[in-house]
Amino acid sequence: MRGYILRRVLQSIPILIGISIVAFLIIQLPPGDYLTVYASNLRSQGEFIGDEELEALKAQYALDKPVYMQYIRWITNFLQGNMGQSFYWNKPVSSLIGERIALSMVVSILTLIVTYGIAIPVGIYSSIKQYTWSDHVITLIAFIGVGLPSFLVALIVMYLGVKYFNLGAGGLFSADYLDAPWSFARVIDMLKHMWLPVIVIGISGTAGTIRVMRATTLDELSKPYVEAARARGLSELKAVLKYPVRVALNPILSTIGWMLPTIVSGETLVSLVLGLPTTGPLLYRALITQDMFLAASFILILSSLTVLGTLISDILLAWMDPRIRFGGAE
Amino acid sequence: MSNENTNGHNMLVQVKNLKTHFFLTEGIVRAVDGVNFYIDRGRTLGVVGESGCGKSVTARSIMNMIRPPGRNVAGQVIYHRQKKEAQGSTVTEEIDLLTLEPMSAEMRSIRGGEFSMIFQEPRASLSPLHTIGTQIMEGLKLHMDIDDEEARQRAIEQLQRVNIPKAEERIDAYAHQLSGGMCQRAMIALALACQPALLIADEPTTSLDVTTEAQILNLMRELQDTFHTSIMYITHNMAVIAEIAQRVLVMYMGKDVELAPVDALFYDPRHPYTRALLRSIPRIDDEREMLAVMRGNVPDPYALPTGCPFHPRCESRLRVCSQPVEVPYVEVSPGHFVRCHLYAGGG
Amino acid sequence: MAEPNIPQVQDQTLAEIGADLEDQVSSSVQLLTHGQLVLARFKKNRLAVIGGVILAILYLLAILCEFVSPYDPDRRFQGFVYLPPTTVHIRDAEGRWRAPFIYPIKRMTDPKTFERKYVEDTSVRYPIKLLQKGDEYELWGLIPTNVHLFGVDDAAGPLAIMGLESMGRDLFSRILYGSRISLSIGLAGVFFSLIIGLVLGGLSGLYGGAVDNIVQRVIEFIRSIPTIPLWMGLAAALPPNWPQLRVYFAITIILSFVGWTTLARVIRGKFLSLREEDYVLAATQAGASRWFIIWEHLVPSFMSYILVHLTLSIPGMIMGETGLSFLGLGLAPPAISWGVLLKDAQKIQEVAIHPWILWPSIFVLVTVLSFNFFGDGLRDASDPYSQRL
Ligand SMILES: Nc1ncnc2c1ncn2[C@@H]1O[C@H](COP(=O)(O)OP(=O)(O)OP(=O)(O)O)[C@@H](O)[C@H]1O
Ligand SMILES: [Mg+2]
Repeated sequence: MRGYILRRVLQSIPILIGISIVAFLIIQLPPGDYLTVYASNLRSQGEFIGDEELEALKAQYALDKPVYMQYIRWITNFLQGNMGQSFYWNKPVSSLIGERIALSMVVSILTLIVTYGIAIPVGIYSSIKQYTWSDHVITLIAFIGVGLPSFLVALIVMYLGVKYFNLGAGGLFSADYLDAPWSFARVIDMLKHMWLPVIVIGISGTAGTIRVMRATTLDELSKPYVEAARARGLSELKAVLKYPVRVALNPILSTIGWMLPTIVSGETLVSLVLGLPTTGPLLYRALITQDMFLAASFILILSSLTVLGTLISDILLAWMDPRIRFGGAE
Repeated sequence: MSNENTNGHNMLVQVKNLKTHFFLTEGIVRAVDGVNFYIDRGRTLGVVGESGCGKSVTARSIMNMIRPPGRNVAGQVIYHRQKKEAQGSTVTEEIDLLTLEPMSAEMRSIRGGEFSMIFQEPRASLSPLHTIGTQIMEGLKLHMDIDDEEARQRAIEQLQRVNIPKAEERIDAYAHQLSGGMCQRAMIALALACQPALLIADEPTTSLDVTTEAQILNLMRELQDTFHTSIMYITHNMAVIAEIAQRVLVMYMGKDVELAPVDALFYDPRHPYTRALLRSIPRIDDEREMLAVMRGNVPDPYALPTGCPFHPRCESRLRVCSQPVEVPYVEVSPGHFVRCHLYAGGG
Repeated sequence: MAEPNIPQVQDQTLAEIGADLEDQVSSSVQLLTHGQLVLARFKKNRLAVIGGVILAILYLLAILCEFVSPYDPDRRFQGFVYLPPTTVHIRDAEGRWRAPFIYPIKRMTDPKTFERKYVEDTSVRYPIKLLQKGDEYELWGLIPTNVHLFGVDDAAGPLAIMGLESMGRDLFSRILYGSRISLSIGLAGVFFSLIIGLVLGGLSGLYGGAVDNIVQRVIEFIRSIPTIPLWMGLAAALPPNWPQLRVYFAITIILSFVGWTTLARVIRGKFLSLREEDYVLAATQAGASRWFIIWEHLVPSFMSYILVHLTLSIPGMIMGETGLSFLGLGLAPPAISWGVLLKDAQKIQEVAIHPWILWPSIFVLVTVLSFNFFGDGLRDASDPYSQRL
């Protein structure tokens, strides 16, 4: 087990480095170096930036050095909490992204919980009731749900909401709490607004997980150990819940590994349509305005958190599965 | 049929005209279609027959654990249950298991408590995520009134009894940590934990190597001597039958074609199918170049031939064999039954 | 098998004899080829067949879009901005049944609210005609003509079956033209993924060792990052002055950047397992070259898997393009794609007043679902024992 954890942690280090390189590339790719952009941005706002200041910034970002030095400088700065300057907002990036990333993660994790909370029991039910009409209905809905592009669903839901239910234009807070400081009441208000985005983001994941859960449970239900449990005199419910479901849960839960990136990904797009105060809209604005420090920081932090989340869930799952815990099969 | 205790038998289970069918969209599979036999107390009944002839379904019917789309459409499984009276004398009551609800408390207390079953693939029959101890103790606690501590103690004893070394440690092992032979020992320990009256072994050694198979067979015989357990032993392997069984049931396409004492079956097989079966076993002293392979194929389970299901492949076929009439079931010698038109006159 | 199967083991069991018999049965029954079997099973799956038919229609429309669309996609109807979908009548004002026709639209301004209103002028009827002459175009850039599948006389004003958009252009025509990009980008993206997946997965499975290790790490890396932020970042980093064709290919490559990973994994797995299989071993010993074996034996053995996988990954690509263009990070006008058209729908207030601008999303939904149904049916038909996930 300890070996597994160590291996898993070591594995994620190159991934994190890779992510940081991609993020850095995103800063580098647009034509012109960002100081020029910065200066012209300031000038367009009527401010002036002196040569000395420019030189200082140049030194800070190692712009006179080769690219890999720039990368090293950027990433060390980043790790120390200095994520660079947002040209558009003219503020340090770190002051802009904290709450948004936190909210993104809250929405994503809540979606994850709701996804599994719905999909697992429904999938089990569907498999136990195989070939009954309720199973057929669930299968069909799940089948359609898998293919639904969440941001289009968001768009249509928004339209229906505005048109027929007189809902506001999305968001996570009601007007009273929009700019209020954090308080218990604000959290409650947020949770009340959370269900719609959570459902929209979760649709396809939930549908997919229902299908996987159903298929794996069906697979397990036909395994000899279930029959053996019945032959031992166990009640049907107990024989099913204690053995096959428990076994089927493992591969399902281990898909958290790829669910989290998918959900974070969906959250970015859906939050844009629904106007949530999470990463999506700000990242979008950053990209549109070529505010690359901000954009890259978002991508780096979002991806790193996803990788960490996956790492943690993998370790928890390994701990749950004796076959891995005792170093048997992978 | 007169298989009462009067003619020397001490029956534990008597199966009469058992029919178990599967109702599928493609048609009805008559997996078991009229089977009669009995299992004596403390004795072993061997069951043989080609793949798909309904051996496992028969076994599961006795445990009353046929699930939809399958159903027991006819017949009885009579369990001669012995109960100790207060005075110390034993009384036998007869229960037709098929009249009990499969998931009723009474049926479940028999299943696993008084009848138990072991399966072909020992490792697959154990949960991959639970220790073998958990599974043995689960059965014990279900059928006996004991606490965790005692259940664990008994589980360890059971594991020792089936010759699992270091039982105190192995009880916390998972199936993937044990060899196939060890898993089957654990399964046997599990099945015998509650000292059942009947042990159904459905091809328990098929997936094991020959040495391990011999060990397991010895173990089962020893345990049978100790606990006086009846065994229904399902196998494809005639050699194993010769070694372990006192009586043999031969099945073909869901029918009982022959039921005989083991010696009678090997030295005086009556049904043409049994004869063909015995001929297809290779012998060391055999001089034939090729084995006699039975001619023809196993018929389609959805479209059984009319009359005797074996007639298309039968060497001694009579004209009546393909007629849609009941095939006579004849006792050709005491305790030796054949279902065949050849013996319609009474042997 | 050429030689008769003479059992040599001493205790051949009944099971084995039975299995031999079964082999003989099944080999005599298999008269249908694999392809016929797949087709027969596929036809039984109604949803999959419907999906296939819808896809066929959509692609046909895309190919013939100049002919099918009633107007040039860039033609602006002055003064008819956001005209609601035209009502096609089959009964006239007196209640008589007629061939489909429309009434011309008059623009009015509400004297009180100053809102723009469109009103039908029921005094004149303009029948919808097949093969109507209209805007000039060159079919496939080759055949100059002005015949459209259907249309009305220009005097009738626009025949906008899905309404006009923010600049007074016919949405239906634009959707048809947009389907060229939206539907083809999925194919192109899948093609790139296939190439990358085949090469990297193949190398990985064939050579193993360090190559395999590197490829596996790269795949893990790509799969562990949230794709959409990454796509957005990469797309935004494209120089804004690139021509649309180059952007199209860049977007395709960005989309395949993630798509190839699953394919590569499976191809690697297949190579690894097939390496061990008897017939490959036999062929190697018979002196066949490595590439010959791959081409002759390995590729056919997972052809159906690849086909199914590709079919099922097209919708993701289509959605990716739609999403990026919708955000303004992908293709941009004058290029037309469903995503570009949906950009108008970004403002929810606009959607609430002119809901027909959501039409492109319906096309995306239908396409994506059809691909899923079709691909799923294909998978079940080609491999009935695979898990239905
Ligand atoms: N759950 C089920 N659903 C449908 N048909 C079944 C089911 N279980 C068994 N059958 C059918 O019943 C017939 C007998 O099956 P059974 O498993 O009893 O054969 P068997 O004699 O045990 O064969 P084997 O030696 O291969 O174990 C087979 O044709 C099988 O297809
Ligand atoms: Mg069986």
